[in-house]
Amino acid sequence: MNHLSDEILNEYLDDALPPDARAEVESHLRDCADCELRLDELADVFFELSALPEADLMRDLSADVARTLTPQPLPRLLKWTALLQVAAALTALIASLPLLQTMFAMDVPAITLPTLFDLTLRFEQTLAEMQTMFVQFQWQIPRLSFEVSSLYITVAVFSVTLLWLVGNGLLLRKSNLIRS
Amino acid sequence: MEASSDRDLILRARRGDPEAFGELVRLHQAGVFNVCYRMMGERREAEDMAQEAFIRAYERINTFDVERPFGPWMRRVAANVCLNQLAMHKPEHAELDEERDADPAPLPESGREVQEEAERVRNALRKLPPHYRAVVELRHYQDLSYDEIAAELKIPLSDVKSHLFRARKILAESLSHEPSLR
Repeated sequence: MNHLSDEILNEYLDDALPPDARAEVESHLRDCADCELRLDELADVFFELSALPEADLMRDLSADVARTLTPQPLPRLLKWTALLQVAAALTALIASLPLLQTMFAMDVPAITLPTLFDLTLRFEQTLAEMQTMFVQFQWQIPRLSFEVSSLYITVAVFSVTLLWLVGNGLLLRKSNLIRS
Repeated sequence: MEASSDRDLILRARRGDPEAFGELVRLHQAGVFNVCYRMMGERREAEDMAQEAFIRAYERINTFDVERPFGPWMRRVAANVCLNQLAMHKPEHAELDEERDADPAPLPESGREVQEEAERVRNALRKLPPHYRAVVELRHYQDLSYDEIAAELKIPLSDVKSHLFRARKILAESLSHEPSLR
């Protein structure tokens, strides 16, 4: 007689066998004292585990958890620094508006969908233009309609940097509150 | 009643009310502590892990489906937190700090017997490798099916079965070496 495997006995006690397999196991157990004994030993482990009483918790964890999760107020100095940073960033942004306006005021051609005939025609035209362009081509730096001083560039770079710092500071502050 | 109260507390906690989450901790801390105690085998460490589990749960509170019961989810989070901790800091032998784990008040004879029986089972659990402890916790104490355990621990079904069967074999040997007082 083939004995039941440990896996089958475990799955039987875990109630993880399909009904027909379960019926077969029960039929085998009726005739096999060895397997019945092994099943009893395994069932003892189940019983011992289930009999483990719940332990009492000696202290209230909620206060410690709440303290960890409660947002800590920002130090006064840091609060003023953050406010100054925001104010400086906004001022810098406003000062650099003329530069940004000029940069974004360029004409964008309207998009139209050409026919296949148009495309072929344009391709031929482009090829012809390129042939002449490579002969006459001269690189020119695009010119703005007003004089860009080093002050404008500095202000623009500073404003972006400050905004980046303030933005990141706020994001990091949120995660620190949770993990602190 | 309890489920609806949990639901309200979770919704308030999501809106950033730490008091509401504190109330959830008070309601579920005993169960979560027991998961951690079975997993870690040491009372002080179990308290730390229970606290860590609640913080982890708070971080994920927005992903929790409020229509489902909070307790079982919270206990699964706790089991995972403990498993990660055990996997990161594998002790050679989980030594029991008897002074820290001792109950504060002396117990009557019957109470002491119950305590010794519990200690016998806890000692046997401490001898299991972390993953074996986790499957025993999820199967025997959280009543999860093999498939649910596989999904929770992100391991194949075959590993769930083999971990569980081997764990029970180790437990049977450990418990037979320290016979029951009953």
